[in-house]
Amino acid sequence: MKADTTNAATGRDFPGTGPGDAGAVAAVTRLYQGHAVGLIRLAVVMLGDRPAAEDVVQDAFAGLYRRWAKLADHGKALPYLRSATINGCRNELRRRVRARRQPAETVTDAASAEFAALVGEDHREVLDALRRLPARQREALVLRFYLDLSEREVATAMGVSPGTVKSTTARGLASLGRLLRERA
Amino acid sequence: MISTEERLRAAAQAAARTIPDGSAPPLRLPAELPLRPARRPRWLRAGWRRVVAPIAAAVAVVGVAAVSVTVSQLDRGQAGGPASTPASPISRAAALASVPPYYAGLTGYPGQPHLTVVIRALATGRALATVAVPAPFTSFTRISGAADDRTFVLSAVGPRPGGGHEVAFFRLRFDPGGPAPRLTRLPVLAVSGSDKVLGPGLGGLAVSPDGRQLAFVVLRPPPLPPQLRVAGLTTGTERTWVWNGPGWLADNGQTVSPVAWAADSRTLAFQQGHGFTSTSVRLLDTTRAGGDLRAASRLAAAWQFAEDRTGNIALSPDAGTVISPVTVVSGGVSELMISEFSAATGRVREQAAHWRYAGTAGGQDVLWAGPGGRVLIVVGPAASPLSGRLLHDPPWAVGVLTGGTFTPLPHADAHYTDWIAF
Repeated sequence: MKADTTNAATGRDFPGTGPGDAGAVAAVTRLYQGHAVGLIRLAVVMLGDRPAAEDVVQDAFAGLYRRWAKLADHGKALPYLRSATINGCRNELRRRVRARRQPAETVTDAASAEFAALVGEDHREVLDALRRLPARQREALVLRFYLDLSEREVATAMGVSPGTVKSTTARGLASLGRLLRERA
Repeated sequence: MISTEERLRAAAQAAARTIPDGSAPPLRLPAELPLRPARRPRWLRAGWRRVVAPIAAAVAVVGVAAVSVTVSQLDRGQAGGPASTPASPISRAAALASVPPYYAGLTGYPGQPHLTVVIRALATGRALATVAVPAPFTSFTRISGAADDRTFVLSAVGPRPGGGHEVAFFRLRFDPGGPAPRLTRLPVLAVSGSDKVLGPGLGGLAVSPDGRQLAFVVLRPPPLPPQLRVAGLTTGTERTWVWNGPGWLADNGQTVSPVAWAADSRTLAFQQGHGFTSTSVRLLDTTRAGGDLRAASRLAAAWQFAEDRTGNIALSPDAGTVISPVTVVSGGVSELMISEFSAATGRVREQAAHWRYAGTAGGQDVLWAGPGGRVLIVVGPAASPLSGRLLHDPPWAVGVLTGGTFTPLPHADAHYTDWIAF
């Protein structure tokens, strides 16, 4: 099943507007209504933490809003949001790693208890293993096998070449399988 | 046993289900709107809910950069291209005007059924027509375009009564001012229920420029050799050549169609290779009798490639030049080229594009070659193709390549899903 971040309306429906224009607010709001849940789902797969996922998506939309007038092609709003969400998740995970080295900082390090209870033990093992992968492998796997994007679309979202997506996906799957076997 | 991929899909879906529909918090847009997304000093970064403002700045910078590079490249291209690029044999305006006004793409994603084909205006991306795969066929599999910008040939796969599957061909004619296009089934079967084939069985597919002949490759399980067939769409004749030599023919398991016609609708180029490192393009005079493909064809170009992939190829109208993606990786840098080989000598005549990519990459591709052979539609990094600059994770685009400049096509990426034909 294809996940739901690509089927709703895109920014192409809206006329170009300047920052602060009511049109920009309406356009970004409508995009949010159409895609926010799908992007939060994408982020929660990456992060295992709903509040952090919501923050990342909120920031992605805030970034889009700031740039609305400069986007020559508003039809690319959704790919932009997807890339921004991916980058936001990457930064959030890096922040957690940095925070682990600085224990004084308060961080949300693991999946929330509510999240863990909802997804079940087996799925949580897979998601924990997924989050132990290098960032690019994790992103490639989620975009490819959760969002079911094509290699070229994954490449666009990650800003790499399709060939890189292919090799990264293969390596990621192999690494994930190895991690799961180690835990079994 | 459940595969890792299946476990991952299930876990991701389970995680996603924790977010019910309609449960997103209210959108909170920033009050201030800087014209440029600048990274503000740390003390100014106040999170709207938590300490995530640094993420916002990074997201804004990184994400917007990804979008703006494509846009800026397009703007530069329209302005005439970088001064350092070699002179174009034709003007940029003429080049852009010469590309087909329409393209057809199969919807859906690799590994999933392609239930419809959508014809779009290249300039705007607007969908002009959508045609569904006809029952009992369950998916389109490949598509190729003739030279008139109006005729496409598609393959479709479906179950065969009594077991097995069959692969059939359909012609799709598009008239921008006329009635809705519809499919006409062609009297050619690529695969019937009794055929032993490898996977879906169909390798490369290319309709001739005049739309009268269809070349396709039938992949069969070893030790059965792969076949190259050319079917006359008006005459009903069909000739078959068999590749008895070692290596693979026209499809190395990739989603490409490395078969191409010259303008005479007689000379056919096809890719053939060994393993994952060496490949060649051979030329076949399709008016000759069927038989042994190796004996009937001649070698036009050969090269080593770095990644386990092939690509689409194109042939100049006079069959004198083979155009193909070539990738060389050395010292952590990938040289991504669109190379033009002389079909007479096999030597590289020119690099239509040569991107230098930091890291191991591949994926540049030729989608269409113009009538003059000097205008190409390719997939590649959205950056100047001959600058020699080392690119770090550039965005990729479908665009027009001519005279050393690459102009991304607006909207093409947004709608490009799997297969696309011009």
